[in-house]
Amino acid sequence: MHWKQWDTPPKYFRPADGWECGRLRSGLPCACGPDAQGRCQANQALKSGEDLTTCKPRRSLWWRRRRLARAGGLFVAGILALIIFLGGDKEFLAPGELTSHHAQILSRHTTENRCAACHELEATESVMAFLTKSWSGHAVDRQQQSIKCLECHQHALPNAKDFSPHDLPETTLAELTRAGSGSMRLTSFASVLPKQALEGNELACSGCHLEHQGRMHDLTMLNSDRCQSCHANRFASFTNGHPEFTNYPAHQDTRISFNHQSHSAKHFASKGKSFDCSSCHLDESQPSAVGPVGRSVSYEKACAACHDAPLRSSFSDGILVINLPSFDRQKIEAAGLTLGAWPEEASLMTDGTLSPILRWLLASTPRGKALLAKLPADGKVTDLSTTDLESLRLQTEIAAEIRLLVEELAVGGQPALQKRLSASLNPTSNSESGDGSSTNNPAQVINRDSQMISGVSPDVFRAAWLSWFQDKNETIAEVTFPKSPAAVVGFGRPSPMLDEQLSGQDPLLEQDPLLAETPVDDPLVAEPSTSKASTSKASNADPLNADPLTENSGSATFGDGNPAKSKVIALPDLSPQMHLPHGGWFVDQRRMAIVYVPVGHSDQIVKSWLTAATSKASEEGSSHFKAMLAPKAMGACTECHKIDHSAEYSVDEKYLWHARESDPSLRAFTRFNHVPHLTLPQLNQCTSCHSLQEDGRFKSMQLQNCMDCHTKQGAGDSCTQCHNYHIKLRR
Amino acid sequence: METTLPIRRPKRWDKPLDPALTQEDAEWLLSLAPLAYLDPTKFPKSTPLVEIIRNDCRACQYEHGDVILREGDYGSSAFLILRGNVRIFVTRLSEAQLGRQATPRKTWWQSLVSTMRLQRFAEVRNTESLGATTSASIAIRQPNGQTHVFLQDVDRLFDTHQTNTVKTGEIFGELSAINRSPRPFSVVADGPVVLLEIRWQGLRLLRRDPGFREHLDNLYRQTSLASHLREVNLFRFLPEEQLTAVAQEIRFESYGELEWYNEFEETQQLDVQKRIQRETLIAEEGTQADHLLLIRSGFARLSERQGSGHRTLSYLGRGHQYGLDEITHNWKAVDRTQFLPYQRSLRAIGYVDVLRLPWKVLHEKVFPFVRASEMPPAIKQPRYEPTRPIVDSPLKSQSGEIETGLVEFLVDERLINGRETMVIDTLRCTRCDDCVRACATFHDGNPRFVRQGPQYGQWLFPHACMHCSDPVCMIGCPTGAIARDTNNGVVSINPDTCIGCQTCAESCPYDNIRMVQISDDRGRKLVDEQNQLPILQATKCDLCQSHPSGPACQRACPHDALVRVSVGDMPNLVEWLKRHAA
Amino acid sequence: MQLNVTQLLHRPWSFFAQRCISWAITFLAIAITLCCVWGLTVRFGRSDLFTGYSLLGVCLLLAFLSIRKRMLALPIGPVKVWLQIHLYAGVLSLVLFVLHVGWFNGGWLELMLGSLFLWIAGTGLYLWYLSRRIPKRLLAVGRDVVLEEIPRLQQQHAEQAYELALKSTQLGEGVTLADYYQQKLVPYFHAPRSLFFGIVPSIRTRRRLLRELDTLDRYLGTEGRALRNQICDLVRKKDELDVHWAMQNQLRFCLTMHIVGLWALALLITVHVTTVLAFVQRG
Repeated sequence: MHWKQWDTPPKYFRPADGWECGRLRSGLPCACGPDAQGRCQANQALKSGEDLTTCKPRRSLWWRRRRLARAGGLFVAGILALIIFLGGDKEFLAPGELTSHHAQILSRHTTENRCAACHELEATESVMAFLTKSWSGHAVDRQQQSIKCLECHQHALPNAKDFSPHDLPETTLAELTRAGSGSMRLTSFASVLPKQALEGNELACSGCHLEHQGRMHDLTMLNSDRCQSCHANRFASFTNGHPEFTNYPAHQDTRISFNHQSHSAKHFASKGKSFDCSSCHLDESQPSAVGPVGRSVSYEKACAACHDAPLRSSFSDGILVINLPSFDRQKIEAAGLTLGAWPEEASLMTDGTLSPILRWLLASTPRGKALLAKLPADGKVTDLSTTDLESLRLQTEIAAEIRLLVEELAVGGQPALQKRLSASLNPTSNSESGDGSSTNNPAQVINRDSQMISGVSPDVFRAAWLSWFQDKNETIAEVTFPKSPAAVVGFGRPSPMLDEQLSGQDPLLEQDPLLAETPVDDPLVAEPSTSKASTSKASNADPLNADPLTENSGSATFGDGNPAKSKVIALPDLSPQMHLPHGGWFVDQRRMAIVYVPVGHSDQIVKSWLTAATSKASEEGSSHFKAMLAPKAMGACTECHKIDHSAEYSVDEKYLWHARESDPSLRAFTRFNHVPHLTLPQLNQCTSCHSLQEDGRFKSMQLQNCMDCHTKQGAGDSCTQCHNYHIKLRR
Repeated sequence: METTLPIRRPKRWDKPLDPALTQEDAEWLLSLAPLAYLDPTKFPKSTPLVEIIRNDCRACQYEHGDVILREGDYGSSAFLILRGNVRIFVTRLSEAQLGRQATPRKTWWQSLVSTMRLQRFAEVRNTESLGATTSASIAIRQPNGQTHVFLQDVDRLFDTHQTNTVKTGEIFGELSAINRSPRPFSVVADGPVVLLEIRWQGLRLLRRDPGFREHLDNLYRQTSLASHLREVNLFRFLPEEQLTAVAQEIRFESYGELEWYNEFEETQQLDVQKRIQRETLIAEEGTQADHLLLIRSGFARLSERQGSGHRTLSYLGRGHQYGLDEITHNWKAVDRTQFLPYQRSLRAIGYVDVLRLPWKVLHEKVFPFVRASEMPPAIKQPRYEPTRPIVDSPLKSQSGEIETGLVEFLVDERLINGRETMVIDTLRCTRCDDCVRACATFHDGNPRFVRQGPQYGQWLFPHACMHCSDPVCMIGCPTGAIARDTNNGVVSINPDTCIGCQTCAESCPYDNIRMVQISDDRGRKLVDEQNQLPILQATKCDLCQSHPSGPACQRACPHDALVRVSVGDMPNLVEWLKRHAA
Repeated sequence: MQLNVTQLLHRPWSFFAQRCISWAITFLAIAITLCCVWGLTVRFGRSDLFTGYSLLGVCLLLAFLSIRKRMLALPIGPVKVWLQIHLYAGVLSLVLFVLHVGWFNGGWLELMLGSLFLWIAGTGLYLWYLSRRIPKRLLAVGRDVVLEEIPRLQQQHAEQAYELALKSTQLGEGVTLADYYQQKLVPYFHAPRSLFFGIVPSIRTRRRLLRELDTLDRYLGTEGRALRNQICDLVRKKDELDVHWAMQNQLRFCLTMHIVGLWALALLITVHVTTVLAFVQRG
């Protein structure tokens, strides 16, 4: 079809005009069209051959298009104006929702406060005011917002407030860098980039933790490349270029000395037991920072099985608290000196050793200290000469001193003992005042002292006194029979030293009801007197002379005085194994000693004695006491429990009773959680990662152990998976 | 408010070319040769001879060395020498020597301001300067106006260049005036001369006198031939005496209808075959190739017989030759028995002026002087051979050429006439109308074309002025309001002198001129004060020549779908078409 | 040789070459942006500010197309160049947008801004697609009509159809054709097409009508059939015009949708930028 047949040459179309003829759409537009005001001009087209019916012109397309766009602009402008000027709600400026954690904290605030909680704006100021103010260019502290963050997060990140990398001071960073940057390896594009030019304290929280990213946004997410940008030693990824583990898990000497190697190789093997890690270390009941895996285990769980029996047996015949050495009475008296009351059993020859505790108790008085000074360090009296007058006098004085101690204890009981203890625990206070008051001692010391003597009954001392120092030379007439051996002290002729010692101010003597009491006929007292009489004089008529028990002075009085009722019991010697399997105090007549038998492992009294012994305060005060730490004595403890003399621990922690526990307040660079790893069958054997060395230590783990799983595609290889950014080291 | 403003309807000869020219002067001029030979009885009452002279002529003086005609100008006047001599430059003068300067344009800032200004009313005209309201301020546009260009040391140029002298009583410049073709040569005054300028409107009227027409033709054949031959590559390096010898042999012929556009409308309706039959046959394929034909002006269809019809291969315009291939082939041939006949036919589209040159002349006088490299190659597979029967070659569109259908179309629609034709690739055009809007903004809110028109496949040729190489619209403009820019050949209408006679709009065969109802700056439609009929004016695309940015339509097209291209020169067009057809 | 080179330089690129170059440049720009963003993120820089500023710049570049269209006289290259820049800058802007916004997380000022941007971008992309599709579709229709001309032509066709139908009653061949015209063709010629047709023009209706008209032949005489043929021709023309109407209007509509958000977006961007910078200053 030829174009001429339909293309009747049309008039100009005027798409650029503001108006179009109202009849254009109906197909009958007029020639003239409307004018710029939108008036139909058909009536002007008089006689131009058009039909004259006027039309109502319509706006042209492009005009409406432009007008529509402007209308849209105005519409939005209106909405904004409403919000800004009427509503005054600043929240519409928020670029996105807060993470659920922050959102729920702020949900209680009113809308104004909500912004002001993190942003530097007054709760009341309007949006416009805010904008104008921030554009007025007043001084701006870059860290304003970060400071606001720390208002809440201060406790979690105490060191974050100086906004330094890893919350660490410059110096630490510097030396860490020096330690870390071995070989600079250009294995990633990140390493080609220039290092981040960040000043020491410029890091804002928002640098990494960007808020308003939606409810589910992970605020702690950190791109590994960002770590690279600061670090001196850069590498492509964990699997490619990460430095080898030199010492991980970091080796620190255990407080309880336990050698895994020897135990697995020797001891367990010899017993034919399997050395299974999980039997000790896996403890579901107490999940720690590293999962259910316990770093240390209780004695009962781990050691008792093998170690309890030997431990008890080593303590079985107890610890000598006060023991009497023996002196050669004849030589002393031959030299014209008096030994005084002293058991015959200990009066034959000069022999024996002052037990550490005895020496320590003696040292609590100046005289005692002086005497001890003349003795050899180990307190042996065996080597003292029995010819030299001086040493003989020394012996008598020691005897007297011991006697005095026992008397004091017999009279004073626990308080007297405590006085002695504290006096020697802190000799300074001791020297100034006779009675070592523990007022200036820290509470724990008092506590410890009381622990040291808890459970010791005064009867022990009295029994000791009675059996050792009752004066055999007293005439019966002079003897009033005391109800208790304590009273006897009062009636015994006091030795001059004793006089000085207790010059009437002894409360026991003053208000002792027994002093005023009229003596009552007491068979208990009478009997020994008769027996003594019989023994002293010729007492053949006495049927009891042949009494086999008379030798046994300790039990001499049993059943006496009432022969009719008397019932003879053969009392065997006290033996701790037999009579004190569960520990306690008693007087050992064979060893002439007051003995304490420990209760077994973790005996509180022994522990307190040892602690006291090692405590700083008592160090010079009782140097002899070191002997206690010798394996012979209670020293058995020190086979496992170590002493740490470093100032790191307070006085009573010196003795490392307990295994080290991780400090929850610290945040190391590296963290590890066993839980997800143990679920893997190939990993639930501890030895798959932890392998022993000959010296009983554990080998450091190998990078290879982790690299197999920790790839980008696998378990993930981002830095933050194992490393903390915010660090808190000890000190 | 009053909606109309009555004025007197403008008439032809309202503005004589030279108002100073009186009746006496006219009669005196008619007494001079060759005007004296004119026969007044041949002229109708409406346009008497004297009136023609009085209104369409004027006398003007030139000093020694003044340039009267510049080569390449689109002249619209002929000159009769009343006194003195002029020189016609046969060899070319350089542009600089011709003293051409670009027509003044707006700076881009001015054009920006003018395009941003929103015009409140459509088709506003300055009622003051309208030709209707007689004001002396208006100068009618002239190809070589009052400003004369003077040639430095013209004498040296006369020596160095080859010139022909034209003497008193002779007419020059009429051929281009008549044929609407650019001036083939430059004319310079040799000593002071007095010329009678006859604008071609008048010239056409004078041609009613047979003697004058004969005189024009003779004069024309003598003067323009040599310089035209020089334009043809073949003769460029020919020695002078050879060229004159060749010129002797040449026969000048004119085919077709000069007023082709009159019957163009109805021929469009005819069947293709018939249309081609109607075209006058210049040379037919199969006949003996005994002449070389040079197209001097107009267009000719180069076709070959295809089945029962004719297939257009190409169209030949000014400067193209026909038959050169065959004749060179024959020249190389050993004896006459191997001579080839014409392989294609040549038909006149509209009117064609051709020069005929016998093959013998070529063989003897021309070919010896032509480089072998410039000679066309021998014909490989001739369709017509003396002994063989005629076979149809298959319809193949040879690479680097546009498909024949499009060629046929271009020829049928006479689009070949276009020099600045608007072509739209409808495979890219989204019909967003940006081009139209741009056009409007560049013309005070009035579009100057319609995005609609002849279409062949994806190629749309909208109703936008093509600024034809044969601007038939300019024929018959009584006031010369529609004229060509002498520099770029852009045809534009001067609103000040357009009287709305619709001649151009009707004579434009492409419907690219629109008559619009004009109004004053207050939006009042102007109507005739006598009969209240609206006053119209012709409008068309002026190629935005007053703006530095060039045609706004092409500039504004977002999709690179619109171009202003000269269909006349094939290679340029083909390149664009091929780029878009890909 | 020299001549060839100059020719090469002066010859315009083929459209394919143009496209390749444009995409190459675009991807280069995207790559550079990505590198910068990554580098900044890694170095604790404000990559969001970077993407923000560059997005702002690109938006200005995009907006420049309309300015260029308004001020055609500016000597800064033809509109076609600027459209190409617009298209590929649009792609770049989308990438930047994703980098800058990531994913919406509340904050309804941002939500408005973002959705508006996406709306404009979406319509833009659809326009891009339309600008490729419409010409093909319309060329398939054949003749080209100016939008303003369509109603007039449709009016003509309607009248012609009416006259033909009328004429058919005077043939004495019964009123089959007239009846059919009354029932089916009157709505077809006078009523506007469906909205669906406006979006996806199809020739289904035309096919149906022509088929039905064909079947009428058996009840018509020779003149009747002649008329029927003319009516068929009119049906075809009307359908072609409808397609033109639909497609051209679709383009204009989408363009409008594309432009509607312009000022709103500009405003929101301004608010966004001012507040953001305010907070950036306050740290």
